[in-house]
Order: sequence, then C-alpha cells, then structure tokens
Amino acid sequence: MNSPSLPLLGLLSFCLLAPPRADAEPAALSADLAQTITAAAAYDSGQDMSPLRHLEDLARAAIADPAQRPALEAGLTQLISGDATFEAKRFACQYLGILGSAECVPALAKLLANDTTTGMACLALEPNPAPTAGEALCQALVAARGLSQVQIINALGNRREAPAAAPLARLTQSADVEVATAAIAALGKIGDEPARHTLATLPKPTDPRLQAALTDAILRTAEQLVARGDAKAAARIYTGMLAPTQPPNLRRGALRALLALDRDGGEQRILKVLRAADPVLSPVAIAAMGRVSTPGAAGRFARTLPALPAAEQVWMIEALAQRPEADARAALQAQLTATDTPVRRAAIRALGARGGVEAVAPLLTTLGRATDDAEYREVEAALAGLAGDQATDLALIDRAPALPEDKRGYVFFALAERGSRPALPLLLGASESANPAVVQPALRALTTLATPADAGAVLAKLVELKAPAARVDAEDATRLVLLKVPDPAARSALVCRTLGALPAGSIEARCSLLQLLPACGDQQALDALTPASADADARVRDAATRALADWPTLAAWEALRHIYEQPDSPAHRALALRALVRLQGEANAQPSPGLIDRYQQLLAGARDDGDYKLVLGALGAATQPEALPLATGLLARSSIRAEAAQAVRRIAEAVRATNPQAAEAALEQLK
Amino acid sequence: MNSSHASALNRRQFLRRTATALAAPLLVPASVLGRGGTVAPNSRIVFAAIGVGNRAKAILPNFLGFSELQFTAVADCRAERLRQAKELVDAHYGNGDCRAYGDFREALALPGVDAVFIATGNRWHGMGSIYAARAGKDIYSEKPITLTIAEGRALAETCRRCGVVYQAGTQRRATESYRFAADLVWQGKIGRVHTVEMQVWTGPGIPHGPAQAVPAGWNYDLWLGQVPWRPFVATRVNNWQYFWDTAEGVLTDMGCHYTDQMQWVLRRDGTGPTEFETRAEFPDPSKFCSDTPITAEVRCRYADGVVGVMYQRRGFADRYIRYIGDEGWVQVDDETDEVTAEPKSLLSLKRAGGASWANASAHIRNLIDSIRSRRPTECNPEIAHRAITICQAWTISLRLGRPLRWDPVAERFDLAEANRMLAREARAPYRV
Repeated sequence: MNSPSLPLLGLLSFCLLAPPRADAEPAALSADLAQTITAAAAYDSGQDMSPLRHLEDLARAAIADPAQRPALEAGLTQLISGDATFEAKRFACQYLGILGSAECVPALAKLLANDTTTGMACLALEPNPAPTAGEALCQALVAARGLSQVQIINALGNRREAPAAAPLARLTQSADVEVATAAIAALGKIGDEPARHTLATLPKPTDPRLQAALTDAILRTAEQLVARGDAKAAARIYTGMLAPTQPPNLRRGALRALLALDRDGGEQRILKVLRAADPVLSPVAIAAMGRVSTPGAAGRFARTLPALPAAEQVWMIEALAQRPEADARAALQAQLTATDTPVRRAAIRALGARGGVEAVAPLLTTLGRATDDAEYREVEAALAGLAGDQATDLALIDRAPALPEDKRGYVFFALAERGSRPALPLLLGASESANPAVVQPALRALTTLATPADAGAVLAKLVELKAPAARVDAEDATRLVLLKVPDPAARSALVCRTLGALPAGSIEARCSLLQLLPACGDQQALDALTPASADADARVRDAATRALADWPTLAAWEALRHIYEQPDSPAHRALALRALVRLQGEANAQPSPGLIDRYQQLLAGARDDGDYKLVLGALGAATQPEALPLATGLLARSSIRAEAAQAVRRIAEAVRATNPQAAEAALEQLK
Repeated sequence: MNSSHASALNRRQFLRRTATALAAPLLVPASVLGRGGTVAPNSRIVFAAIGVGNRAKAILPNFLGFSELQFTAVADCRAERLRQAKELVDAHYGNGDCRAYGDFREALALPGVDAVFIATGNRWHGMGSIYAARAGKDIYSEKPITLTIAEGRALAETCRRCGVVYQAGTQRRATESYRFAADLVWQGKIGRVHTVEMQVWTGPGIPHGPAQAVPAGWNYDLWLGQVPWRPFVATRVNNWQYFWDTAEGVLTDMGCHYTDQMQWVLRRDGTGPTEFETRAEFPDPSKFCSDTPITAEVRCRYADGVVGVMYQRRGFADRYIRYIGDEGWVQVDDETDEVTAEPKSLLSLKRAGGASWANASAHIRNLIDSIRSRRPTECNPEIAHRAITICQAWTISLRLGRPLRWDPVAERFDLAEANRMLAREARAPYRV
C-alpha cells in the first residue's frame, strides 16, 4: 500500500485528535420521564415492557413537538450512561438512532470503547447527522480490534465518512481479513477521490475474499462516478471488468452498465458482442436490445440472427417481437422457415403477437407445411392473436379454403377466437363438407360465433349433414347453438318446424332432431317426441327413447313409464328405468303425494334385484315418512336386504325429527 | 382436434390482446438449449438451499420437480433442520451427495453452485441475497425480501452490479386467479381503479419469556445475523415474525404479497405511493414482548389519487385483495383462490382450474428461463423492492405515529426521523 498523502495524514490526525464536542448542559428531565427512565433501566427479557413502550410514546410526541426532544434525548442518554441493563441500553440506542443529536454523542462514544456495546453504539451513531458522530467513530477506530473494529468501519462506510478514508486505507492492509475486507468495502462506499485512489493502487490481494471485496468496492466507485457525471472514468472501470478473465457475472454486470452509458443506447456495443459470439455476454446484449431506439436498429440486429446459436436466436426473436419496426416483423417472418423447431415456433409466436394482416399468408403457409399438432396449435394461437381485426379476419376467410382440408380447422378455431362474425358463411359452408375433419371444427367454431338468429341455419346444416362420422359432434354443436335461444318455446318451434319439413325417409336427420328436443324441454317438444318412441323404424324408436331418457322434467314420466312397463327391448327398458330413477331422485327435494305413488309404480314394475337396488338408491334419499314402508317392505328379500336397510336408515334419519315413532319403528326392524 | 378448444375459446379470446402478451418472456424449451429435449447433467443449473426450515420444506418440492436444475448443497444454522433437508434432497435424487453446511457462506463459496434458494427467516433474506450476489450466484429469495428500505435499494444495486438474476418469492404474479383479476383490471372491465383494498389476519401477542441458554445444535449468532444481539428467548426466537428487529409482523409478511399485486396490477412497478397513513393496536406490553401490530388499518395514496388500504383484522382465512373501479370490482380470496366480482358476469370469462399460489412452479420456471436468457425475472429486485417499500413505509409511519410523505424517485421521506429509519446498522461482521 502507498503511504497516505499529506492531506490524508492531516485528516487522520483530525480523526485521532478531535474529541467529540459536548458543549451544552443536558436538558432537565420531568418527573414522569425520570421515573420512566429509572424503570426502563431495569428492563430485562421476560419482564413487563411498559416502561419501554412509554418511552416510545414519548419519542412519538417528541418527533411531533421538537421542544420535547432535548429532554427525551437527555433521558435516553442517561439510560446508556448509567448502570442500565444491556437490553435497556440497546433500546435507548435504537431511539437515539432515530432522534439523537450531537448531545448524545459523547455518551455513545464511551460505548464504542466497550466490545459488548460497540454494536449498539454504532446503531445510534451511524444515522446521527451530527459531524461529531463521525468524529467519534473515527476516534474509536484506531483503538478498536476485531469485530468492534469491523463494526466501526462498517458504520463509517455507511455514513460515507470522507475523513475516515485515510485510516481506512491503512486498515485495508490489516492481517485480520474481516477488518481488511470491511475497510475496502467502506472505501468503496465513500467513493471520493482519495478512496478511489486507495482502491486503485492496492496491491492485488491473494486472498479471494479480499479480491472479491476489492472488485465490489471498485464497481461501487464506478456507480458513484456515473452519478457524478464522470461517465468516462466509470467506463474505464467497466471496460476492465469485461475481460474474459473476470468472473462471468461481473462481466455481465459491467456490460449492462456500459450499455447504459452508451449514447446510442448500446446499439454498436450489442452488435459487437453478438458478432464476437461470446456466450457469456450475448444473452445480456440480446436482453438489452429493447433499450435501443435508433432508426433501423431492428434490421441491423436481425442480420446477426442467422449466425447465433439456436437458444440465442429464440431470445433474439422474442426481443425483436417487442419492437414495432417493420424490419423486425420482416425478420420474424423470415424465421418461419427455420429448420430448428424451437426457433421456428418462437417466430410463429412472435409474429402472432406483433403481426397483422400481412402475417396471414406466411402463417398459413407455415400451417400448410407443418407436420405435427403442436405446431398447428402454435399457428392457430398466432392467427388468433394477429392485429388488424376485420382486414385480418377477411384475409383468413379468403385464404382458408386453399388450405389442405385437414388443416382448415385450425383457421376456423382462430376465427372463432377472434370473434369473427364475418366467418359465419365460411363455417356454414364448411359444415356441408363430406369430410368430418372439416365439418367437426367448423361446427365447433360455430358454437362460439353463432347467435340465436343463426340457430335455424345451423339446424339446417345438421339436417343436410354429409359426413356421417361427424354426426355426434354436429348434434352437440347444434344443441349448444340452440341453447343460445333464450325462449324454450322458440327453440321447440324451430326444431319441430324442421322436423315437420323433413322429407320422408330422412331417418338420420330425424333422429338427430329428436335428440335435440330435450334441449327444448317444453310440452310441444315432448308431444313431438313421445309418439316417435313407438315409431315403426327401430332407429327412430331408439333415438326417441334415448331423448326421452334425457328429458329434464317429470313431464316425461308417463312416456318413460310406458317404455319401462312395455319395452320393445331390454336396453330401452333399462334406459327408461334409469331416467325414471333420476327424475325421482331430483324430485326427492320437493316431497309430494305423487312422489310416493311414483315409487310404488317403480317397485311394482321391478323385475329383478338390479331394478330394486336402483330404485332403493333413490328411495333412500326420500324425506317423506310414507317412503319408510316402501323400504321396510323390501327388508324381507335377502338378496337386497343390505340396500333396503341402508335406505331405511337414511329415510329414518331424515324423518326422525318430525316422525320419531315411525323412524324408531322402522329402525327397530333392522335389529 | 382437441375437444378442449370450445371451452377455452372465451378465455383465450378475452386474453388475446392483453398488454401482457409479450411482457413475460416466452419459454425456451430445453431442446433449444442444445439438449435435444433432455437435460444433460452438465447443463443443469446447480442450486444450493439456504435456510431449510418450514418454508423451504413447502417450496423445495416445487424446485425439485424441475429436472433441469439440481440441488447439491443445503445450509442452515440449525443442525436438525440441516439434517432433515439433506435427507429430503438425497431422497429425491436417490443418493447421498447433497452437501450440508452450518454456515451458508461455505455453500456460497462452492464454485459449482450457480444459484441459491433462500428461505431463511426475514432477517437474512436481503442480506443473504446480497452475499449470494457478491458470490456471483443467481437467486430465488423468499419474501419479505428485506428488513429495511435501504437494504432493498442495496439489493437491487448489488444484483445489477454483480450481474446476477434474482427472483423474489412473491409468486402470485404467476397464479391463475390473480392473473385473471389483473386481466380484468387491465382490460378496463371494472373501469378506472380508484381503490385497492387488502386484508391480512390479526397478529398475535407473544408472551414474555426469560433469557435462556442457546439450545444445542443452534448457531444463534449466525441465526441473528445482522440483527443487534439480544439474549436467546425461546418465545421471541420461535416467533421472530412479530418483532421489529427480525421482521415486521403480518402487515409485511403477508402484506408484501398484496403490495406486490397492487403495484403490478396498477402498473406502478418502477415507482410507488407518495403518502402513507397508519393506525394500529399493539400488544399489551405488560403481557407481551412482541412489538408488531395485532390489528391495523394502513393506507397509501399514489400521486394520481389511487388509494391502497390494508386491514389487519379477522382470521387467517379471511385474507383478500380487491380492486375497486368506478364500474365494478374484482376480488381474489387467498385462502380459497376464489375470484369474485361485480358485475358477476365478469366471472364467465374465467377459465376453471389453474395452479393456486401454493404451487410456485410457474414462478420458478420464470427464474430458470431468466437464468438462461439473462432477462429480468417477473419479480426482479427493483420490482420487489418497490413493493415491500410500501410495507416498510407503513411500519415506519406506525412507529413514528404520524403520516408520512414519500418521494419515490429520491426514495426519501419528508421527515428527517423517518429517513433515519431507512437503514439499520447491521451487526458486525455482516454488512450490505
């Protein structure tokens, strides 16, 4: 280490010799304050903290009323000067740190000299604005050792105590590594010319801890140079840190700092880094591209893209996507043909986020070229995200038919996501295709875009369906569109009218329309459906029975009961029974005389244990006392006794409050 | 074609042009990193876990779920916790390779460690992150990220200076319910937001307890870290969240999640409110030694008049954040992850499902991507510092018993005494 210069020696002497001042007499304490100080002085862990909290109240009052401050400060000073406990002194130091003035410094200086109290003294002295606080720390620095010395050094650094630079310079050579690193760090915080000089001329430390502290301190001084407007000096420091011999993280930090200093926003430096293919610095350069606003920068960045590794290409594509220039969009578009899959997909996503109508054609070309579902979906999401609203919609509508049939669906979904009403004719037209790969997505997209006014048109497409494999999907889609019509009667009228207009022999279409009737749910729909369950054509009977089994209300009870009791097939009987049990289960919530009658009908029609168990499942949830005999009546059948007993228990629990005797009697039968 | 399309349409359409579409970096698949879709061991990001108590146990499984990172070291100043953490990591990897350190600085000195996950007590979040940054390690730190406003500023500067990537553990930015609420606000669905209402739970009073010997296997000096030395008192040490020395109570512990949300949703990440006003009920000092509020009502106001109000009251399960606009409101209940809104029709735009805040995987994913790309994380130190500054300003206002004005550019109060509370001198040898 170089010897301190003469001016520094002068400052050092000042630190060593100048005693903290204590000019004024301490303020007198009120009786209340004196009593509180006395009580607080005895505080230790585990005791009542009221005296300390009272002092906090007094501190708040003193901050609001500066006239009260001298007395409180005197009281707190008294607390740290006497025989108070460690905890009490520590408390006082905390508050002297908030409101202490030069008055308390002499007392705090005494605490600095004691290793057990140095820490609490620094707690109070570091934020104290009085110059004497810094002087006291300087003075204590020389005699202190070990952690006390480190504590004082830290406080001086945090105060940016310029006069301490000279003694700190000497301590950078301490044999105690903690002391030396603390001194280096403090000089970095002080950061004035003498401190910088000391740091710049220190011999290169051999201890890595010292080296790390020195580097950090020098970088701190660079920040201060920037703040003071000396960018050139700061840049010299940062440039030195860019060397490949420096740790990667510091190189990155230095590059970021240099980019912030560059007058062109860092454009030339970014280009230089990218051309140098430095894997440590390139990501930082790419991440900083967004800061550059010089005209044409996007194009110049983009020209470096092909030479970058794949990962960096992805990051650059994402960075270019943040830029508004046409050059950026063109570069993104060019990457749609990249052979590297992640790069290509990044370009697809980026174009979707930044592109408009001009991106429709290249994205559709990419879709046409794509060979896997993940990429199809990337394109679909990109198309959905394109700006340009109607013009983009129209471009998509215009070009979709030119795509291979199995890929048009992704455009249909994109149009649906865009909320593109003009796409309706395209989708309705597509639903006439014989290819289910076209029909299914077209109809599903329609479920999003269609309004109640379109329900008739969609219904017509179901009738005209040319792709048998798409029929189930088509029925589902049509049902969703139909449900957008708010009035059940209007829904029903629409379906019934279409049914009535069917040419003879349109069995498939008739079956599909019958399946829609439960979504209408009114009497007109039921009247249309019920006769069909006895139709001469087995396919119609089957469709009608399944539709009846889906009926949402008890209105279908009789029709379903008829099938249950006089079925044309075991399958239809099973469907009817399940539907009847479902309806009963739903009706349990609203007890009525009819409910019990219907259970009796179900039990009367039961043919085997399976039927009984099904009925008992619903019956057990009944809450009417009249349900109990129906369940107990089945206890005698050994093959279903467990289910009957379960039902009895549930019903009995439900009716116990209102019919305790009936409940108890039923439960008695279980014993 | 996937049948999930139809159900996702409304949501996707709603989000289609949100301003955040490009705000978050797009994910870079592992394959693009030259690994052909698989993770080669030498490409893994090597982590050390620092502070492996209850919080770490909850979050570590989220980290361990990523095959592209690997934990090779754990550190804790409590021997039993250290042993358990090593067992957890070793069990995950099916070996006994995880190194265990009683002093985290030894883990930071390992040249093969790229990054750290810090889940210590609050007193070490900021300081530990600064130490890690100086050691050149990328960082995921639990919240609250710092003890003081000055420590937060130092953290942001140190991370920048040292060229490291940092993610604060305020993971709700990556949670579906919170993102949905943010989308509604950004889309203008509730009009101009004028108030953000937040609620955290009632704090406890911690009873007095005597000083006692430090338990075996516990490095109490390192546990304290920068905090001024105090005797070991079990009730105090085991409830460190409720003491001003070591934390700031519920208002900050949970509150910083909400101030982070408020800053994010109001798009104030680089700045903060300008006014703070507080009132609170503190524990009875004759019975309790804790010094953070039991109940409180604290407010802040941004320069444009938007108000944030946080209530500390009621039960743990009653925490929420609500954005109130001139055309409606939207609220996220943290306990249930449920979103409510007025008009209720807004809720039809919400997609079902999505991971809750308890799963930090998406937030960790964001960190991993940033470690690769060197782009800022979603909760980078500047953003996280600004969010917790609000809580710290409330604490200072509470302790001084008066409203405060704040200059978010200079980061100074209008009151000298408050400015003297911006920092606390750290106990040697620790320093920021």
